[in-house]
Amino acid sequence: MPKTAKPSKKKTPSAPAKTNAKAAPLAADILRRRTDPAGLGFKTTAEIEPLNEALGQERAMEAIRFGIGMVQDGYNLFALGPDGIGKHRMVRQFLERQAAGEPVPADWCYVHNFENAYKPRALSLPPGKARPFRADMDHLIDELRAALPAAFETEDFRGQRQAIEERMKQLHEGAFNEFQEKAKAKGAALIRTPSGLTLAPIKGEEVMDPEEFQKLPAEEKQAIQKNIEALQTELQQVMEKLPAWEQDARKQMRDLNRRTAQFAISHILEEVKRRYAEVPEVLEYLAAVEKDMIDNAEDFLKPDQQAQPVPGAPPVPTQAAASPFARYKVNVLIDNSDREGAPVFYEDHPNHPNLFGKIEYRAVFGALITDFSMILPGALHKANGGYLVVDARKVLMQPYGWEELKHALRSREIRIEPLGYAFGGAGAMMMEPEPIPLNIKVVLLGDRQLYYMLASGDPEFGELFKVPVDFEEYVEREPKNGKLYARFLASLIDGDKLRPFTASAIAKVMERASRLVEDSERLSMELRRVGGLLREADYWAGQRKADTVDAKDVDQAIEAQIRRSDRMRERMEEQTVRGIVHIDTSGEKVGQVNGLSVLSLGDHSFGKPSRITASVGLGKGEVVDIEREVALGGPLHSKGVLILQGFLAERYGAEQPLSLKASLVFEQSYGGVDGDSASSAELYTLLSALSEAPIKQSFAVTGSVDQHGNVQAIGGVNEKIEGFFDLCKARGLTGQQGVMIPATNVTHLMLREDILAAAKDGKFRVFPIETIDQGIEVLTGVPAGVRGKNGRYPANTINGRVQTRLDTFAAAARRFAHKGRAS
Amino acid sequence: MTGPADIVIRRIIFALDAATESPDSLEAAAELAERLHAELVGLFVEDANLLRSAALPFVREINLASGQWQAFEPAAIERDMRARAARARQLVEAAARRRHLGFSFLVARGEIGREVAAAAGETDLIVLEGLTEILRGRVRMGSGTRAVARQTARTVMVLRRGALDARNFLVAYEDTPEADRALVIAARLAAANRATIAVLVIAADSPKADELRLRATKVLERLGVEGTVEILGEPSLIDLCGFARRIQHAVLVVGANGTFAKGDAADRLMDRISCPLVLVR
Repeated sequence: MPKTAKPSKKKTPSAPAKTNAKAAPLAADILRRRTDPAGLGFKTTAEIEPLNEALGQERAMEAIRFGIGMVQDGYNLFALGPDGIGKHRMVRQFLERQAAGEPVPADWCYVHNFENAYKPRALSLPPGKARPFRADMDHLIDELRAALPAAFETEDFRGQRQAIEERMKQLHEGAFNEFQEKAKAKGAALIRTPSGLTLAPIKGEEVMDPEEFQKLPAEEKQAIQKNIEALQTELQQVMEKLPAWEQDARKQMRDLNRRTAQFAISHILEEVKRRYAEVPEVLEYLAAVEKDMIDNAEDFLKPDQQAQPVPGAPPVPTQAAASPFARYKVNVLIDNSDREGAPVFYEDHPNHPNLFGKIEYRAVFGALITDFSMILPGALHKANGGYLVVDARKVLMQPYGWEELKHALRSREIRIEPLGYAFGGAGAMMMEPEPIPLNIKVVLLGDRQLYYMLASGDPEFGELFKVPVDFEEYVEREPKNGKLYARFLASLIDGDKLRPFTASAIAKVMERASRLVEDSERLSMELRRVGGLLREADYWAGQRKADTVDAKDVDQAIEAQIRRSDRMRERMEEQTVRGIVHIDTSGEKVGQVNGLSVLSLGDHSFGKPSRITASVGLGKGEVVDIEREVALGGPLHSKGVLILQGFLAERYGAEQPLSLKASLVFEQSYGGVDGDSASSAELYTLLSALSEAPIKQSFAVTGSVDQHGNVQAIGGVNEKIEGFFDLCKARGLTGQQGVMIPATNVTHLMLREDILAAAKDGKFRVFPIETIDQGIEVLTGVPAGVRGKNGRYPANTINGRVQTRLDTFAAAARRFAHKGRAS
Repeated sequence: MTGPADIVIRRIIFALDAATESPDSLEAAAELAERLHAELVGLFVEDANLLRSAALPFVREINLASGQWQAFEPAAIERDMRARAARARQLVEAAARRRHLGFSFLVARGEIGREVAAAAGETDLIVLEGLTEILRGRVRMGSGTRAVARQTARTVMVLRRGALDARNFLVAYEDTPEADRALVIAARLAAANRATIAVLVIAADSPKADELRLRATKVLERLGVEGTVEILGEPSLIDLCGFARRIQHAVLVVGANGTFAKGDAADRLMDRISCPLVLVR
């Protein structure tokens, strides 16, 4: 059995590295921090109370409380944190608890504006009153539908109308009869022509024959003509009286209609007015209704009559026309009758109409018509008086969603306008409903990058969203949190109505939660993945017809998740096993080491070994990063390589210039390389090339390095170890294989059970490394060597051999320089 | 005694002159012809009085729309009449063709009452539009209509402007020779229009009213027509018109020699009545 060691508690050193004690492989129990099911204190989650509060989110909850408490403008909230950590759920839960104790906001209706049909009026009513108001108005209409025609059918009304008509007729007949008699007496007749009237002399019953007229003596003709002309003048006078008579008759008729309608309407409206006596806006509206009904009473008398058109709107054909009573109907926009507390509304699709409401149109013979009854509410209306939750990214992706939302918050009112208004493109006259006052807290949900982008790029953002609610992605894996986390999981189980989980299943889930955050001392709050694991484990328990979910179901769910996404990794490993991609896992080689990288494909990440080689020769002290030269290396990788130059200069270049040229490359790498996690591996292979000490290929290496040779933490440590382990396992574990990781990554280890078993059996080792000297000793089996007082390293050490090789390069360089000068 | 089968209406003569423009009434006449399986005859009368008036050098016309006097030229009125006749012919033809009716179109020159009377035969029903807007705002029966109603010996139906929607036929039933004929014609028209029929008994005293009611009931029974019989007593012309006005979609049928249509009464009835009127002869 190889000797194993507990991890060093030493933090990342910043001082020049010293050669430490020999590195020893980690004990198997260090490779994965287990959760003891017995320590959880329950058998199944059915026994524990689900946690109904946010776990480990004290900062966020404090921010929400503050944001809600601030009544001043601009204290809207932005809940930031990675996707899938349950921001939405936590925010909703918190807001709903808060909103339950707040007053129910007012109902809102849109009604016809009798002054301007293009600007429907918004009416606010006490909560729960809008629907009854609509019903009252419908009832009123029904009543009037019967009462108005009845009022106009009464004998009294008919008598009065007839009297007006009679008076008018008498005036007409009197005037015309008198005129006709006069004309007749003077030998003339009044005759209807296609477009008017004419006067002609008569003889007997007929108009005088023109030829006969011509035969008359001149005096007689002149007399007839004068007579007719005089009558024409009189007829003109009679005709001139007509407009005034008609106007008078029309006015009398209108007054009669108004009086009749008022009598019919008033007592019916009185009841409605009494019911809404405490709502002045409604009383004002009812007064306008009454006036309009009286003014337009005649519209209601004929049931088949075309509705009074909206002024300016296209003519509406009879069959499509609404009833003349339609304009007294009530469009209930917001009905809070069933609500308890303030609303909390989440808009999943926050496009312009869904946020701000919309006006629908009806196509009638090619024309689009609308009225107040076709106004629909948006999320702002539904959440008004409470809380609106929306995804920031979705709002930003919708045309004008963001700008209009800010405008609404700034102006504190909701305007329902066609989208065309937002970009000034609507040329036609459109309906503009009266804006509704806005009293709302908006909570945007988004990731941190989006928050910081908005904060730096949009000057209004800071003014309107003053409260960041920053969610943690994890909680500390402390004993007290363990139990709370179990309750948190129980709440997810409860919420999804899953089978109860046994304590061992919960322990497995918690271990997986640590793995998800790559830290054995933390537990992931990523609800999407943790919740997914719970649901999938429940599925597997169901497959075996179990009543509870056990650890094996969780294991199966994890394995199945990996299996579903693992095709690419398998193909890559297969290429290596077949020797197409060259990675050695045994033997020794100078200037070659196995590095480790991580590939992420969606939610699935895996480690991939890479062969890194170095070659050295005479040069001017430069280390060439071949990846960078061909533009396949990212800036962090280039930085790592430059750090190597710094290391070499500090360690070996104090007394003479480094006269070498070294090249580093990821062999058989055809994609980009970035990150500095391979910098320690690159340094090892460089030292191997310079010292000509072969590196054991049974090891793979990860870790970044500083200029002093201290090995530093990297990400993806578990995937990297597992990646090399899988390759070794595929070729057969020899007991010599292992991975060197930064010592500071030990706390991140949450490795698979099969690696733990191999480590326990001594078939695979994980070495925590603090310094390059420690690492090179493991890799080469040669002591690193400590610098003597004379500045020289012992000859039989790695450092000594490197120093000697560099001396050789320097001497050669001097020779070349001398030759050059001489020639 | 006559029965519905005895009264055959073979032609609907739709009469009009230059002063009337009645596409709706023409449609109503055509529809009636279709329902009665009758021929449609359009009769356009060029009013001789009008032509003579225009030929007089000093005669002008006052335009109803503008209230201004304007020249009244014979050539212009001739042109106007020809154009109106052509237009009327087109309308009659189109209305008839749409309904697959036999039709003809006649143009006569003379006094409208006389020309219509001359054109109408025993089995004809003369249909005219009764409302002529003489002056803005108010309506009264045109002189042409009065002349036709007065001079013809045939049954005349006077329509109001607009589509004919006859659903309730009201028969003013008096003790006159043509009372039964009026009732039979009303029954015939009601059947053609799928309308109801109500007999309004007009009598000075109860015994007479009862007698007439019995007589009307028997006529209806013999015709196999369902209808109501109501005694009105001695209503005034205003009462009768008021009664008719209260019944929606009514058509009033009266005998031409009865109280309400004899002599000058016909003019007054035509002035007051607000629903279509049938003067039975």
